[in-house]
Amino acid sequence: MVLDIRLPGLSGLDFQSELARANINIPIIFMTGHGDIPMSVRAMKGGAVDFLTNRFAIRTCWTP
Amino acid sequence: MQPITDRPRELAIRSGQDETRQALVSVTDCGIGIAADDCKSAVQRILHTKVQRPRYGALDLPFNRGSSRGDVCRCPAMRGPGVTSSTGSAPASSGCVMTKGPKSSHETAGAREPIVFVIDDDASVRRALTNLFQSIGLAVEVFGSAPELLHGNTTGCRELHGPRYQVARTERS
Repeated sequence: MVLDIRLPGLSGLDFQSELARANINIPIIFMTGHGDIPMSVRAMKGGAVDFLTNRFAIRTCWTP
Repeated sequence: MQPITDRPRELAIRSGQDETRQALVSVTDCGIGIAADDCKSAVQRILHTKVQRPRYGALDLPFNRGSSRGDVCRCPAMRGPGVTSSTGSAPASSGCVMTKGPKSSHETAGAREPIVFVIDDDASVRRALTNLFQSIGLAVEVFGSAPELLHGNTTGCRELHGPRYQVARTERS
């Protein structure tokens, strides 16, 4: 799952928490253009696979 | 291969998407089509061509990941009714579905197919990532927000929600 942080309604981080509470384990890659350290820490501690800032290179997103 | 001398040489290659958003590449020429026995091998030669992308080395994958599974190749290029004979002048039509993977997965993805969820409120990002993942044969489902996914009814949503998720939501509410 490629998940933006800033989303209408429910933020990406809150959605991650929601999935965790529901015991749904799906790999999540966060991406945002407005990331900061607290966000990334929360995301990674919540089990995110990666935390990407927008305008990331394609090779960053996909490495087979 | 015999050269064509009795009619103009024509070759048209078109690409697009069919109704299931599979990439569709059609090749039309003035030949006589491909014999049924040769069809699979002819198409496999195309599908296994490497794409050279020097700027993005990580994407230097086989042309299509789905093709390597051998479950591709809907190929109406075989000889048969509607295809010109060796002396005909009407063009023979050859159509090959190049990929099975690049699809929306809303209706065709099986339970075992990996699905990438893309959740972003920026439509251009959704489109770019969809193209990226589909180009390597992954099924993609896109949503503009988390609630859209939570209340969605796509194949991926149903798999993701599952009974456990419904129970968890009910218990909290």
